[in-house]
Amino acid sequence: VELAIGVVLYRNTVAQVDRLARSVALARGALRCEIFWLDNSPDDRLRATVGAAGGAYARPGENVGFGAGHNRLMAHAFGERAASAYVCVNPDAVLHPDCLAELVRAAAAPRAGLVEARQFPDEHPKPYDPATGDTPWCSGCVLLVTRALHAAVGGFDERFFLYCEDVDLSWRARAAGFTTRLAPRALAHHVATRRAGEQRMRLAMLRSALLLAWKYGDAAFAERCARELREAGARPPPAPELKQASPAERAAADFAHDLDFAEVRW
Amino acid sequence: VSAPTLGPELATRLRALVRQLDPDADAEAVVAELARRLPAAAVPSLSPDLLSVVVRHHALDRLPLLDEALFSLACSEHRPLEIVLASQAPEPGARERLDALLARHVALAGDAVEGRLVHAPSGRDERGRLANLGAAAARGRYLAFLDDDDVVYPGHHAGLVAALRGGEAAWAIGRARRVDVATAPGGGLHVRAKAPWPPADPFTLPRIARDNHVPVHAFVLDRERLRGLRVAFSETLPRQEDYALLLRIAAVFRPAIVAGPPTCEYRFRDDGSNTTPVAGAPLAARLARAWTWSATAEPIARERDAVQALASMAELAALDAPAATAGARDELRYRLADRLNAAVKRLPGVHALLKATLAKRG
Repeated sequence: VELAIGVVLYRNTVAQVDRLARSVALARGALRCEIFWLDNSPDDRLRATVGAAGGAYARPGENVGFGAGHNRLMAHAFGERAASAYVCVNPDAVLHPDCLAELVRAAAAPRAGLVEARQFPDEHPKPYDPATGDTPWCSGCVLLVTRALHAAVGGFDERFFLYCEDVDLSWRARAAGFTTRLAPRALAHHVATRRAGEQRMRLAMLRSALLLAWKYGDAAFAERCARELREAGARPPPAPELKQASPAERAAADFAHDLDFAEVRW
Repeated sequence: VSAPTLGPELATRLRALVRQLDPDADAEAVVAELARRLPAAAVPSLSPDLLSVVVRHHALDRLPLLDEALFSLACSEHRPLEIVLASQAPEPGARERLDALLARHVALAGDAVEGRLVHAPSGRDERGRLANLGAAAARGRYLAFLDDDDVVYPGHHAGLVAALRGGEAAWAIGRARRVDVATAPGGGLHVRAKAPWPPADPFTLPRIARDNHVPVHAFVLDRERLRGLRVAFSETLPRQEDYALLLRIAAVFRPAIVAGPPTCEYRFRDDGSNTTPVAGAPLAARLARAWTWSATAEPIARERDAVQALASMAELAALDAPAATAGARDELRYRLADRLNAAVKRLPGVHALLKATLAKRG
């Protein structure tokens, strides 16, 4: 298999799944692709929809989270299916017909580790080099993971239930000498701005950011996250026992720009 | 007074105009005579729930831009949707390439989305004509425009149509975002910055119409409710043809203002190809420009458009009246009277009546 596409579902609508499946069918073009669905929902009402769209469907029976869900699919894709690359795709995204081909093209560069699609029409404001695509970290919205990267550093850290697992994987990838890039012509329709202001999302992101700060040893940022959680009436989780990031991983980290984890363009 | 040719909104605005010129004038008589004399607007047969979006496109070297515009439309939440691609691309093979691109995005959009290509090859900039050709081909009651270098967010059109359905307005305006983009190596776009557009509130009709903070894709028209107004862009203006139409519509119809978060992007490219936004200019200059722009509406119904343009001038004058000196207001009144006089000279009955009713102007 040239490319494995993984989608982790959770209580998505039939219309979302239909739309994504239609876009994948158009975008796969001449690529040798397989699509895998892992459904974290409490029921299997999406099974029929996914079945009509094609691809393998699995349901763990509990919500294992975003990163753990993709890790299971990645293990299968890189193992049994011997995929050259794996693409995480958010179920509320829509792939441009050229998206997958552009991701694969960008992943052909030496030491390619992660290649993200450009979220469209409202992309994340973190910077990228318009010539090379180099970017401090890659969003997991539509993200290609190379086989070489997976073999070297593994998948997502499953302690992150949702959010920041992509930032963590990116910093680990850079520390291991892989590139993290954005492919400007690989468009993925995804509008995150509607959710950005929601308090529930902000709190979930803060919990993950707190874990990230502990992992990379930034006590000041951890305290900022914990304080904001307390001020919002939420209890910060206790600090876990975890293996600290290596000096190289710490060098790749950036806690100076709030939850953007990079200097932003606007 | 029955004014079926004018439509109730335009009739109301014209009564206000005549009374603004002379509080004692017989405005009802003037408006009734105008209604009798002006040519009726052609009313197309419209599909009731359909939104037609006319996408203007100029040349094949803009295909990457057009591709993004069409992708944004394919992901629009509004259904049913008709994408009318109006292109003047003159290059050999343009029709086939445009057909293929459009078909790809229609397939992506799925059910209840249709695409049609209106191809009028030309080497000159035909932006006004393209919009008119597209609007003539469009079948939807709801009509919107999108230039090939701009994009909309998925809820943009659905939100504006919902605002129309929820009230009586004939058009609805949403908020745009200004996006500064550079041309990246290889011809792609690299976003440098995004900012609210206009930069600060209030997001009100006087403010956004006066300063031209309403890009052509920021509004949706309800053509059923615009029956008194011919939706036609100037085909002679090299730029600001969309602003001219905006002024004509704004003069007669009060829009529903959807002042929430931005729902579309107005992209400013670093190659200088955008229409320059209108900065704050002196009132007289702005009105003169408004007249020039809004009165230019080729090729038919010149008198009707001139009358609508006058209403536009009157509205702008009224909006600015608190800030104007008494002398400036008088000058404006005289200017309006002269324009009105000139506009209706070809309608003898109206002209005589107007002269009589404004005789006291001195």
